[in-house]
Amino acid sequence: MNLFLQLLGNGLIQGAVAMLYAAGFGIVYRSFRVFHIAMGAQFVFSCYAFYLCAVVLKLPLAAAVPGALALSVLFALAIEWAVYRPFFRKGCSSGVVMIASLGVMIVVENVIALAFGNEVKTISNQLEPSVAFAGLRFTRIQLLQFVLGLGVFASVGVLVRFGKWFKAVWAMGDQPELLPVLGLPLARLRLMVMALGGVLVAIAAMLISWDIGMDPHVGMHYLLLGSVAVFFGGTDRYWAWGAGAMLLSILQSLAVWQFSARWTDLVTFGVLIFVLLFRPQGLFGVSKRLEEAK
Amino acid sequence: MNYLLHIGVMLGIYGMLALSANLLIGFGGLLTMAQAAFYGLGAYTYALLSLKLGLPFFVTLPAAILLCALVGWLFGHAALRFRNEAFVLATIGFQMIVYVTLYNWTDLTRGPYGISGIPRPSFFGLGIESVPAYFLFTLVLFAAVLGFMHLVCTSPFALSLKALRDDEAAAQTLGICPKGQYIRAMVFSAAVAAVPGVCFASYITYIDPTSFTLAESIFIACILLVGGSGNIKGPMAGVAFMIILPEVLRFVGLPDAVAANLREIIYGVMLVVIVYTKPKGLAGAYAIK
Repeated sequence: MNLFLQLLGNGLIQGAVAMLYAAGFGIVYRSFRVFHIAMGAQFVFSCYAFYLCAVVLKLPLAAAVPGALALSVLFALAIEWAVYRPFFRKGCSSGVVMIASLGVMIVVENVIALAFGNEVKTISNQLEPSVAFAGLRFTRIQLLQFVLGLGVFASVGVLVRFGKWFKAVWAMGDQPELLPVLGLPLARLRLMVMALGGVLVAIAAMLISWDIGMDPHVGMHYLLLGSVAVFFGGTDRYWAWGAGAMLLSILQSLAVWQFSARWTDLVTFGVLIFVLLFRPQGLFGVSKRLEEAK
Repeated sequence: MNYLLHIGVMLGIYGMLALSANLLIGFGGLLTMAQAAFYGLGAYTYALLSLKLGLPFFVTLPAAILLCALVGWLFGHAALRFRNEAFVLATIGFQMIVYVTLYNWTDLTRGPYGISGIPRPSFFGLGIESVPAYFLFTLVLFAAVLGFMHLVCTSPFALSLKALRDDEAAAQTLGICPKGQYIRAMVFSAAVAAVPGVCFASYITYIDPTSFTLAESIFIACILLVGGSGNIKGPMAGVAFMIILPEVLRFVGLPDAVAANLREIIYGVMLVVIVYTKPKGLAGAYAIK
């Protein structure tokens, strides 16, 4: 029973962080209608930006975290300026932009590997103090992951629900050409989406890399988990991305309890295929009319 | 000389893989990321049937082709309900499921330890052991696959796939059934991908799951995106570029670790530049949508 509760607790903590990178993927996917593969590059970049600030430059944590966040936002904006915007202006289809996004991912992953090496890097070499809670044990970073993950996700959720700009962002995903007609700044809104997605992914990346370290090839793993969570929950609702990420993480943890840690990826992608087949709009997604879905 | 022949064998293997993916990507307009899964299934079927049951090559090759065709047919029924990103994600899901199964079903596949001692093909007691002999053998298999794909690509079936790719609704009004034609394309594509799998397993004589990862599927898709698709020339140009480039970098004198990353960076940059400036690739006939 204790093992079950411990794994459930671990699942909830992983889920809280997964909500952030799922939202980072989802917000770009929903508003640009682009399968944002470069989110994997964003994740790796943020991990190494944190490593650069905290370990290489030896900045105190209070400076390293905002420094890494600022670098990550600049990186997200650079992707929009250098890649997504030229393709958007040319009127390229989402499939073409997805391939360009894959190119960005491959380039960034390998540039980082050249700069920092392929081996695993860690932020801290010290043993993390743990906290006992009702017979369960969690490290300090895990507790921080849980609180920050839920807190940031909920705060952005409130912004998405009540912020007037986010109504425009949602509309951008449906008919971007109408925004300039309505006098809305399309280019600035796109930058805002990229920056917000960058911040969400960067926070998740820093929390994860602080806990378990990083290597230049972790991006694809988190990209897949984030995108599966978004499709699992439902692509059109912010809260559904979080719910999808949380449920998926709990399922992965329970797979460890029932089978073994080796089969967690099978659970993830099995769930994806199952949902795509039997509930293509996602668990909490809204069914659309055929003409709406196009 | 053996080095050049080895490159020739690899060109043949990737040439067959590119031709198999071309049917879905170039003719069907469906970006698949699962080709390495079928490649791996073909390789493992050959290895297991040869080693555990001692079956000869002329039985194991058709068995691998049939198994991949069957899996492609089953997977096609599920995945071909989707288009665009959802189809890509479904193929990624399938690729990951096959990889995780190959990696973790240790009783059957020996998981990360891989399967060694896979026999080379032999015909009437004559084994294909040397690299030159294997090069000729790959050439024969490649010619057979090329001939088959040429027949398929010039058939009314390929024309119907092109019609579906360009305008699915309009094609349906002409009586073309998307589900049936796409599933047929998936079955052909999966079956053809088994051949290079068998070729690879019997050439290297050792396989493990790391040869059949998602990265390998992405690499196969990149061959078509860089070289072009929708005809025979495009995939061939892509294979020549993507396989020969690392060999060229080897002669520049860069350390292996740097050369590997540099090669990937060149692929990545080319992907972005080519889809922006030349959406049909170096020699393709279809601009990906």
